[in-house]
Amino acid sequence: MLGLAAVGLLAAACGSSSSSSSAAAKASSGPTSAASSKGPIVIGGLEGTAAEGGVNFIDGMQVGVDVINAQGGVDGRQLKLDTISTGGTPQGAVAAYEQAASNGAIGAFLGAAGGIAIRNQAPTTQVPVIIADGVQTDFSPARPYVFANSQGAAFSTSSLYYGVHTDHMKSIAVLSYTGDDFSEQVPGYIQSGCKALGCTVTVSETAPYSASQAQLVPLLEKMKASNADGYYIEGLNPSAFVAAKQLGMFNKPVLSEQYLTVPQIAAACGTSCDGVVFAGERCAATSLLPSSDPLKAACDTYKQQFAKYFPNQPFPNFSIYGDQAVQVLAFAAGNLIKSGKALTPANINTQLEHLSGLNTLLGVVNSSPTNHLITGTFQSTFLMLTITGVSGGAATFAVAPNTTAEAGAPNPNN
Amino acid sequence: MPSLTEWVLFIGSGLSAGCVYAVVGLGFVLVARVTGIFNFAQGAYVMIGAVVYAGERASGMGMAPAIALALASATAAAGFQKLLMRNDPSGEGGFGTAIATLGYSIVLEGFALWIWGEYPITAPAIVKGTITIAHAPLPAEELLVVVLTIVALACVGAGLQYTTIGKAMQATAINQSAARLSGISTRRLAGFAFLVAGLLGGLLGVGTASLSTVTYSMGLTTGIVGFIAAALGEFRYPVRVVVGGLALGVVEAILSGTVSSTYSEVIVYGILIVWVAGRSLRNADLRSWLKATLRANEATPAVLAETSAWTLPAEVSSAMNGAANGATNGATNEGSTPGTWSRGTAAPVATGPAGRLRTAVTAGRVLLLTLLAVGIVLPLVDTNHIFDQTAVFALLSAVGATGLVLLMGLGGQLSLGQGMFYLLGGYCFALLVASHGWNEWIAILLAVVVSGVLGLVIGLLCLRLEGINLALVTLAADLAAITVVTNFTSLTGGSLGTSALVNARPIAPLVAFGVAIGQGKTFYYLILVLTVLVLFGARNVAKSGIGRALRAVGSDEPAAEGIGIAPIRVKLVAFVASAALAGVAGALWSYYLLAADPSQWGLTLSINLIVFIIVGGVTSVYGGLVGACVVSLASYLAVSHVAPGSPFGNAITLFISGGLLIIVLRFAPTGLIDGLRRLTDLTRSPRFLGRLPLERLRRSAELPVPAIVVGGRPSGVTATAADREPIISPGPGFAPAPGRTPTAARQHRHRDGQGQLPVVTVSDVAKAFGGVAALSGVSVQVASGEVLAVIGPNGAGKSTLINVVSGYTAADAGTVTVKGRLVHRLSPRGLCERGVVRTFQTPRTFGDMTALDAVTLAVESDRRFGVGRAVVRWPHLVRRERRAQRQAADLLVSLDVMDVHRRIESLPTGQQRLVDVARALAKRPACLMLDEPAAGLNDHETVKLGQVLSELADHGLGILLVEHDMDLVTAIADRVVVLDQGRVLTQGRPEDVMREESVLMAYLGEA
Repeated sequence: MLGLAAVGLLAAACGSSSSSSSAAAKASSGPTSAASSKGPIVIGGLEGTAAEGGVNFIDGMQVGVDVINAQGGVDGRQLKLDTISTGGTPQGAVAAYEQAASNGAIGAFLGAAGGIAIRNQAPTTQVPVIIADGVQTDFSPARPYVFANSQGAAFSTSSLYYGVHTDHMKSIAVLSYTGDDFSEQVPGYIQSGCKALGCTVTVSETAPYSASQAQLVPLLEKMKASNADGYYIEGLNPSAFVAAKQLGMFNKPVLSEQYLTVPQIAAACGTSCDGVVFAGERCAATSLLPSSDPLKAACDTYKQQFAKYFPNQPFPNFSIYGDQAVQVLAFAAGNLIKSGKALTPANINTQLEHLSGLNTLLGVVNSSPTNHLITGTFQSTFLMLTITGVSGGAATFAVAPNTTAEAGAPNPNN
Repeated sequence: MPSLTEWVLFIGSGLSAGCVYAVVGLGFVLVARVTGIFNFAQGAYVMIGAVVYAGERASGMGMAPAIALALASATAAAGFQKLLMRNDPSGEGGFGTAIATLGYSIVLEGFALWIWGEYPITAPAIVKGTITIAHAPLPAEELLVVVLTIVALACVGAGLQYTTIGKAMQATAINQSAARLSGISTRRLAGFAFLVAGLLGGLLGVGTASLSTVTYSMGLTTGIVGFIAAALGEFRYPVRVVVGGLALGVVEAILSGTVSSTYSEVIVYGILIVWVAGRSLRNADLRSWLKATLRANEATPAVLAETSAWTLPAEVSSAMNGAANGATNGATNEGSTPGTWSRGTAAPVATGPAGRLRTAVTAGRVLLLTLLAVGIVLPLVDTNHIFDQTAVFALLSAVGATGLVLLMGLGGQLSLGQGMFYLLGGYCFALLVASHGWNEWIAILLAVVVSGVLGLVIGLLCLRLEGINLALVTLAADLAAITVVTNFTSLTGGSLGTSALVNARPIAPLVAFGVAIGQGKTFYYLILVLTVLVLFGARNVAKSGIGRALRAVGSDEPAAEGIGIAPIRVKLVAFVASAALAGVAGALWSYYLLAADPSQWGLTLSINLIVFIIVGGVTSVYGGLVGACVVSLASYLAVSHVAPGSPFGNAITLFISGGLLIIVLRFAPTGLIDGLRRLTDLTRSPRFLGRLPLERLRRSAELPVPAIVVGGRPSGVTATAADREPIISPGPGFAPAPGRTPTAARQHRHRDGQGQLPVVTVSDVAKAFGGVAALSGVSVQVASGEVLAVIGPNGAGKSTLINVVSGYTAADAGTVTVKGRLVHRLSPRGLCERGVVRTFQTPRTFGDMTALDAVTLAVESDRRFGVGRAVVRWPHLVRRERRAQRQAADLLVSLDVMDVHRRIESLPTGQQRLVDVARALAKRPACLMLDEPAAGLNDHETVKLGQVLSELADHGLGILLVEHDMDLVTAIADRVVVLDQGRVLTQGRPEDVMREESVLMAYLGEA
């Protein structure tokens, strides 16, 4: 029986074509027709659970859509948010993405796990998708139809840069987590960042992102025993900071990244996170921004709009990614309508590859066919923060020592 | 080398983590011992306690009320679960019920997600501050957890020892039935056990809330490690469980701190696998196991009929070999005329049993054809991508789930690691194609081969394991595989998967015969065709010899071995087939998503596969497909149509899969397919069931008269009538021939010169169990054509003697020879090959097998069962199978078992024993050993049995009969051996032995 199956497979294989591009074109299931010239402009919101949170991304999209529609839409055409559940699985994300394409979405935003699966599908489905999972390889190298509005490695290396140049760290011990796409990349980011900055990684430990304090203590103790000049503790699991504080590790610099701007994570961390330095979005701490900062007004306005649509909820900082995705897609759609071009995903894709000087909540966007990162520079979008307390379920931030809001968060990759 | 401070930290944190495992394990054991249920929701109680406490504290509730609410919630969750669960009356922890607890755990997870969301929550410590030991700062909260654990163990221990309810729980744990008979309300006790387990879980949840990242998903991983702790305590010994849990935590902490945090989990799982497997090996005879493993693939020797001292009478011999003649006897269509028994067909097809069979077969075919039609048409009608892809993944899951049905449903091997083979197949495909540019079809084929090889390795590792131990090892292997793949970045791309590998090429679409198969509807139809082929093959396997062997081994391995089945080989075949199917599904899954990454095939997939086959029906080869379709469709409808765009999509999915599992197990525990079968079984009415008279069967079949007839002389018998006279004193229903007495019958055998050749010789055999000598210097001999009865009071060693002779127990001293050849320490299968076959005190039903299937299995067990041949069912193999079935049917009918299509378990006890005898006779033994065959039979049945045995002995079969029924012994035995306290008291003719004073003393204690 196995032999027969093998013969059958060989026969099929012998008949197969070696050309991938034509086959790919044949197999493409992407939409080809333009959106109706009168109907709403559909934007796909792919939502589901993710370690870094899922619902808030889509809430941000909803705010963006509602605000634009309240202002008359995009050249008179209303936006429609087509929220599709991914189930939090890679295959669910792919299914949701394909469904968004079938529903006529001109673009989609993924606010859940599954970015890796979707970006593999994008060249086939051919609908632009903006991913916010913070994975560097979402946009570098540029992949057809895949864009990112999350800075990837810069989250980690920016903190590292601060540690090296401001705290004069020459060695660092790292703790990261498994079970989250971004978090699993952190060790690699720190390694390559240290290579560029001339520091060394003494130990790099990993744990499940739901690990308890007791499970983290041995790893933190190893980090402490490595006599590094400072520590990088990835922010997804607040228990790590509690354990680190218990072990007296805060006598050295402790770096992290912007998970700590998530109210629930900051609240869970409590006073144990006081003093942790991390790069956070400017929108998370508008009170610290000078009035000349263009993001101050934009972010404050957005926060007011969010509070109007979702009252009694601590401001979820990550929602700005969803809102920004809507802003960018709406802008691209508006350009096409103004220029009389068809509102197709392929044309939207082209627009997204040629953004120039677009003001968004994530900075001024300049993209290109080889640069699919659709945010402003890291420095202009982020600043170095530290937590000074938690109140009413939300964290209070201060600018990190020896830096200013104007200076922003450094990005050694720039 | 870590410093003292570091050691204190490792041990302290390890103990804290270990306390959680220990208490969860304790809860496992408590529930398992009292109710027989392995409760996988134990971890969820910890989660409920933690999220309620942390959630309410975050909302501003005070500590005391938050604690009270958390404990009440966890306890209530456990109590409600008990209301949903049935007790397992066997006390053996059926895996169906265990899986239901998994479903409940999933539902609780859904609730937690719905109410508290996905973000972590934490709570302020109950006890603040730190305690310093050897300069190591330990949180006071951790010490609180340790104290809580000690208190919990002390309370549970004291409660079990010193309270009435505790003693009642212990009694129930030992023997549920006896406890019930003593007036103990086992149902109430079960409820109490659940409540205590819930309280324990909630307590730990509250205690660790400030030490953990409390999320809705923390229950599953906590439960798994607690399960491991319970296994370390063998699910029986609370102290061992607690020590095991603590040890797990400490070992994990030390490994993380000194070796590797990345692979510490793998090392822990590896230790567990080695410990469980090693314990099983330690309990087994290692040398015999190795020999058996090495011999598993040797060709089985032909039945040694020609060398046996026993020859079948010509009529029986021709009946058993009748297929060669049968084809010329005017075969009619199967089942075309009620009561017709057509030559060349499988078996007698009678109105009652066959009518019901026909209806069930028709209903099954209609269901499948309907599903196939829907499967073909629906994607053409509905252009919803979500539906398309739901269908694709349902079918891909169904392929692997079908393999799981073969392994679990037929083979009885509980595996929680099927996802591991998907992972391997998927990565194999993606790496070969994306990294090395192999042709996609070749890569798929190789993925199947590699998965099959891994299945072989896992199978070899798990050969001696069964039940929950096998589940544990396969689960650990699955988790270890995921960890390795996630961390072996240079090979697999790590968590980003194969698309992150340097030089990774895009995966081109499959092209078959010039047709490109992308990821659209064409791929769906490819998978549909694959699924149909897999189901067709699985169906054929289930119907074939290997399928029967699987079912036999799965339901009763010792009895299967006793009729010549090689359990090791059969189990390995099941493992390999199951793994290969998952491998091909994984490869195609990888193709569909254009890459492999570890998140696609996590533990969730393994659990989902179990859910599918339980919902569909674990004993039906279609169960995986039906379950996958039902669960996937229900989730799709709920998320896409009932609550579209809901942020609670994930929670809804959890509710559906967990809820369906619970509902099906509660109301249709054998699954939806069997439930449907019962609904459509229109001929269950008793008037359609019943036995066909032998006369009508024989007349219509034109069969020669079977030489062995029970129940009186049939009409038309002409040859050697004197030989067929009943020997035992007549019971109702028949009249003996005049002038015949039992003594005369025995003399008749001896006069013919039979009963001279020794078949089995037992010399000076001794066997002790612990300090008790079950056998001591026992020597007996069974000659061909002789009925040797072994009698003695309870505990005399009669069953031990049979066990030793048949290879189920190894003697400590002495020898056993069969036809002059030493058979010391030979396996039951080996002895079967030598011509020694036995029956058991309790008739062996082989699960839900029919009488015909069971005896057919015995007829064909000499042949090597091949899956490859079984899948296709070549005509010549079908003909061979039909011959075996006819032989089996002939044997059964000749022993007056007419309802050949009925399940053995539904036959009267007497008929079940005759089926056992038929199964044994199918092996053409030289010596047949019977262990209390008359137990539970009425007078009429006993008489019939005696006639059968006497007839068999008349024709040269050596019989060793262990019996308490003295009338039967006196009537048919040529010699009697009396055992008492493991020794031979006396032996001789029955009439002589019965008068001996020593025998009376042994039985009655006085002369």
